[in-house]
Amino acid sequence: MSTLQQIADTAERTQEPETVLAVDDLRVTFTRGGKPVHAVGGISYELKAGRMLAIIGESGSGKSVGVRALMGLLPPSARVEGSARLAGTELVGMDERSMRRIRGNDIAMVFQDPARSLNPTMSVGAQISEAVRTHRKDVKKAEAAERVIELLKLVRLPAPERRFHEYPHQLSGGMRQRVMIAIALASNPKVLIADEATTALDVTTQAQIMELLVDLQDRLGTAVVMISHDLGLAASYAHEVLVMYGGRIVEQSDTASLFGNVRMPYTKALLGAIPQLSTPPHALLPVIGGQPPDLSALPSGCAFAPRCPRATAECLVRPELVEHEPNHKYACWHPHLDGAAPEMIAAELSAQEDVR
Amino acid sequence: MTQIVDERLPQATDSKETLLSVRHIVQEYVSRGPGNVKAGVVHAVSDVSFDLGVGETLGVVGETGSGKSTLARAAIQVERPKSGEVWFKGRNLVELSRRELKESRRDIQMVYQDPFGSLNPKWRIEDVVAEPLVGHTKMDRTQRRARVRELLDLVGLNPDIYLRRRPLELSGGQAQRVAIARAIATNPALIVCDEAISSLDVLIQAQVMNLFEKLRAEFGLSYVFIAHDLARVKQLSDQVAVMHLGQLAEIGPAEQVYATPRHPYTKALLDSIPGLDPDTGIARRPVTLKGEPPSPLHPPSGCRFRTRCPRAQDKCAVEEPLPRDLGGGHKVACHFPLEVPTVSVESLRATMPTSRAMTRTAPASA
Repeated sequence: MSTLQQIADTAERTQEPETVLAVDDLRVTFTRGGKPVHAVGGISYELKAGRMLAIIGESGSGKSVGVRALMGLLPPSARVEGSARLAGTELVGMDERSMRRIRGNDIAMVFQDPARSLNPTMSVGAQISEAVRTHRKDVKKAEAAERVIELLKLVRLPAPERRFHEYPHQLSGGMRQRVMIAIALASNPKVLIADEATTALDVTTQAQIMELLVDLQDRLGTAVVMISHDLGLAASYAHEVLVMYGGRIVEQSDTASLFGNVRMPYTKALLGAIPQLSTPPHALLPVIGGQPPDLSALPSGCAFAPRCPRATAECLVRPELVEHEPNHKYACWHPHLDGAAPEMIAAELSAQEDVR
Repeated sequence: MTQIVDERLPQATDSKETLLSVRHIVQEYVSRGPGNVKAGVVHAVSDVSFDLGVGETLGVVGETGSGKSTLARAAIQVERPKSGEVWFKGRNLVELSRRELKESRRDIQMVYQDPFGSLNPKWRIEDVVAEPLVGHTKMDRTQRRARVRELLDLVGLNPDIYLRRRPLELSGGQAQRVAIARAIATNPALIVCDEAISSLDVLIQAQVMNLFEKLRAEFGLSYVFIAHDLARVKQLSDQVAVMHLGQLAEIGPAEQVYATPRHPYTKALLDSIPGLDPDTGIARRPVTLKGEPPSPLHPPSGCRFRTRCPRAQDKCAVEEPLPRDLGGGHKVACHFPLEVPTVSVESLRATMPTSRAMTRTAPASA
């Protein structure tokens, strides 16, 4: 690395905001029928204040379980190991009493279905007010009401004074999700987790909610973890992207350098499956066959190998997640490198074997 | 209102035959408040007409509550529409008796969003797929079994493995394939897919979309494909209908609607799709549409989109825009349609800033 670049790097680093969340080798194991199910098999990442991290994966890739473990929202049968530090506080192995102080206070979550996460028998105002007063017992009811209106204005709910007295069924899906975000923001969390928060919404509403999250992040400096299966959404909003498959991270990078240089065949497949407005009618999409892996019987090698068009015998050994390029990690033996045709890769392989 | 002339597309099959012709369909529901008091009328579908040719696909898009599902359900008489005509294979379905309707349903099948909700969890896959054959054909047990094996094979499920399984033992994609196998069991002419791929993972979505495409090419099936996302219906559709609050905002050949959207609502829908070009990796940040969709209980006067429309003028509040033919079967219901050529999605994508300003992070060593 050149001296100039080193200086630039240090300069950047000194300006950088603090790390609010540091996850190191987080593992979550369930037991199903006496057999261990490795829902999350060792993931590590860091999140800084005011940044947005997107965790991408299919159902069963461990993306939700991985963040729920941080909040202690998993059933008691789940075994969580490794480390996850929220502003220096270790979350793994924390007792329920301490966790209750942190959950909803320092780290909050917005779920996919706002209709099911809100209490249908309580007015919107009462529900947000409850969130405000749970974490700060000294707040009086009237003060809390003021704070609620403030929060409703923050999430841009039209006519907040009127909405205060309304019930969830009187709101549209987008408005309900705004209320959920208001509840999550009630105690100014350091980290906000949005678990498929826009999946159930219309595209128009999705864009509005994402704009709101970005705006809040800029104004409040909240770090956001966005869980999604939509690469397009991640590419448009997140700073960093983490792609999960079979409970592990297969590719991790900042957004700017990832999408032009996708290395891992799985990420490539996800990218290819996004419907494009430029595709002609009745064109077939490039697909990869097969199903996501069974987490109770993960192959010892690369979990994606059975579906991977580039898989070879080497893939029977699991590739580690290595930072092959600056800020770009991937776990793959046969990455899509620029200008490397499949034959070239075969040649490279034999060369590597010679070296060994 | 003028009748929509069915224009043949180069992509459509050679057949000049119209399979389904929906004329001025209206569906309304009475909304009741506390004490069963009539609170108002929900205008779910207001005067919608379209034509669908043999082997053609009509994509229907719109937000939640735009009436796209109600339109499809009224068209195939799941609920009888309040008024209008539905011509299917030369018969007006609206006038048919229940018995006659049941017969014609052999030619119309549906695939729903949630495959687990539409497959009986207690039945084995072979019984699920064989059910329409029991009702609609005179096949005996062995014939049915042979047909079920053939169908499962067709949708890409190995009959030896899946015949004896039950729906809950399947993944979402597999269950949706079973639902598709059941839908094509009686060799229907038309399949209505109501958000059939929305609940599936991206990679599985692509698999199922290709399956739909394969079945269309092989059997000349026609589809009405309902989705809330324009991008997803793009490569399936010959025609696209954009619904807004129970009305057709725009309908026309898919290529034309996507390349040159004329209704501001279509444009807004296109703009709110988060775009990502797989070749360059350049992301396009969605442009948001301001405001909430109006309530179908009290739709705005005049044009129902005017409250959110950036082009709305006084005329829009007074006069309801009727669908106007722009040529080539492209119709738009707007007083002030967008000019041609509008900025295409591709050129927009190139000019948009690449998502947010990126700052580099100190890499954590693996």
